[in-house]
Amino acid sequence: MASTTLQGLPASPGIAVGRCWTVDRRRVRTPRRNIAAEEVEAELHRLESAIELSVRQLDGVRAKIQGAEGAEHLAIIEVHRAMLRDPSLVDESRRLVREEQINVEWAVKRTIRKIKGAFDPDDEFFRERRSDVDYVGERIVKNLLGHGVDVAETPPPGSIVVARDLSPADTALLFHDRKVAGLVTDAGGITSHTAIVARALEIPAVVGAGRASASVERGDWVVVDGGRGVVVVNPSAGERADYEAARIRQMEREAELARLKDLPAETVDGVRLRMVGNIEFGEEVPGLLSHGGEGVGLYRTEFLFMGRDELPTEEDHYRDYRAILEAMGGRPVTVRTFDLGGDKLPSGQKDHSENPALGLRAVRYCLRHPELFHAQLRAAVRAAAHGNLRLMFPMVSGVAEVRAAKWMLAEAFEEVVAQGIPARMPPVGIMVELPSAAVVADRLAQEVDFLSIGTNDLIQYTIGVDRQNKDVAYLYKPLHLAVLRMLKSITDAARAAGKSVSMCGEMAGEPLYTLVLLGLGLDELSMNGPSIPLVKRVIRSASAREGRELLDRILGLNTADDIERTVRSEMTRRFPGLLEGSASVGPVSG
Amino acid sequence: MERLERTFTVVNSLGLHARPAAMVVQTANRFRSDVHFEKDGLQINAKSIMGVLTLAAAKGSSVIVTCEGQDAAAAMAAIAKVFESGFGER
Repeated sequence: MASTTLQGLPASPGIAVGRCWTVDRRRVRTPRRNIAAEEVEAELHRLESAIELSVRQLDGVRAKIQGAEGAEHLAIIEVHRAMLRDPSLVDESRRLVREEQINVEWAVKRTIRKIKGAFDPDDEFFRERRSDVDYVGERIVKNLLGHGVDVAETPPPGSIVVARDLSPADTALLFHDRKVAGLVTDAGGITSHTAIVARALEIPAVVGAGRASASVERGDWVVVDGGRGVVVVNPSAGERADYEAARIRQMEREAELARLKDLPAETVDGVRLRMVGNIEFGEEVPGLLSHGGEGVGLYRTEFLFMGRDELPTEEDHYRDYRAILEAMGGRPVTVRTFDLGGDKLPSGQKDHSENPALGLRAVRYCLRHPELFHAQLRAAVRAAAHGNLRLMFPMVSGVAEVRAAKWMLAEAFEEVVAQGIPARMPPVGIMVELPSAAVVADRLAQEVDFLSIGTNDLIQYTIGVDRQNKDVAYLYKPLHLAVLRMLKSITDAARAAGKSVSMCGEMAGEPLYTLVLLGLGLDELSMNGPSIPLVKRVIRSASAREGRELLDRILGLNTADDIERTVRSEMTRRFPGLLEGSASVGPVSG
Repeated sequence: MERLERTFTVVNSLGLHARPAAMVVQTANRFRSDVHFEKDGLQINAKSIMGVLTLAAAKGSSVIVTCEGQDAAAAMAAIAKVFESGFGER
């Protein structure tokens, strides 16, 4: 039998090879008829019974998955339960039965359509809610007709579930014990409930695969490549073996990276780095910890401003910082004060200046708006009493600005203490992201407890190139000799002053640069959580000495292209296979 | 008959999405009073999850809550707790 390959949407990564288990979820046809006046009461009674049965069914689902990986499922089941009893559903259906004298199935169907009309189909959130309303309506109608609603059989372990579509209840019942190997649905998007659950449970899944369910029968072999959104039905023996081998390689790779999680980022010659994360929201903390993050190297507080009409209050900040500190359980959390201005301003404000990148932003903006800065600093010293908070000022151009910001911090601290509120003075650092700061890094290091290099801006300002501008983006080179010299002078200055130095730009999380960064002698690398394991793997199999040798070698070259080629060939030689998948030389953000 | 009105801000980062909506509706349904939410001129019955969902209140948005009935004070207190806890989220 020839194999069939279907392209769908990559909903949950990973490869699964197994026997197909089809789940039949045929839609029901809703009967329509007019009823006699004396039938109305009986119809209303049928509605009541069907709703009651539906609630009982969802209670049953909830009981079954309780205690398992249920949180995600339970929430949506609660929503469906609330929908079943919703006055807009129940009252309107009853009204239609009574006033238009139609059968209750039809009345429910019409009511569901009306409710869905209030949810914008072009909005992702509402699209999901529309399908929730559909599932609820379908459940009631099936119960009215005496059809089975939820999946009743349990697929054998290792099966690939293939369905036209799955309700959240089906998803819960099928997957809560994690025995299913993979999932394919004809319908759905990558933000559908089913896709979210598959990702949470780490089950490889492809959704939106078109006619998958019509192309398979129970027991057929199926391959799911969730990372690429590919489904192969009835693969040849060769294809099956290839995918099976790929699956095993992938599992080994994951297992290896997972083993790294609790191991230190220490080179073979005993240099220990701290691997920390860049975050924007507290929700990212569990993911960061699961990747072995030893702290937060950059918490971007300006996101507290996004999507809201009013300025965040001191309490908003305080609550937010404290929650993150507590979630990080004593690990260091570096809070960067607002990096506002330029393209990032509270709603309703706009920077109309000719050149916002060189305008009133970050610490400049804060010093100009002391009331706003003061609230943030008060919140920071208060939160510092509850954990290992470090404070960092962005876009500092020289010593005077650091002193002004520190003065405001001291003022906020004294004020809070005088009010008898618990507070602690946090360690203070700056972002080195302007060439001016890089050049006077030795003096700046005298003023603060730590330096953190923001490579994205430092590269842009040093080379004078806006990387969003496609005409000049090619000039954006992290390995430009000027950038390397600047990085070296910053790290040398920090070392001479006995201060720690970290890097929090994209460069820190790109394994191609890891050896160079080791050569520079950074103490801390801050990146997106998922980048940590790979960078750590490089560190653990490299030595700081070879990093210094590579750095010396490239500092003797002239062009960015020569430097890049040298670094790439050294990394390929030392770590074969490492750079696979990182397609371009440019930094990879994730 | 008592009528109470208060304005709340949505504080959790995901806003009044599906799970918090279920929580609000469960809470409102514990009381006899009528509970209504209003946002940007749209008023809905807080005992209806369909209604609460149509508000789609994002983080930072203001919701005007009115409770009307004999147990309005208790209902308002319960609703306040739900809002202030960020619906049990952050």
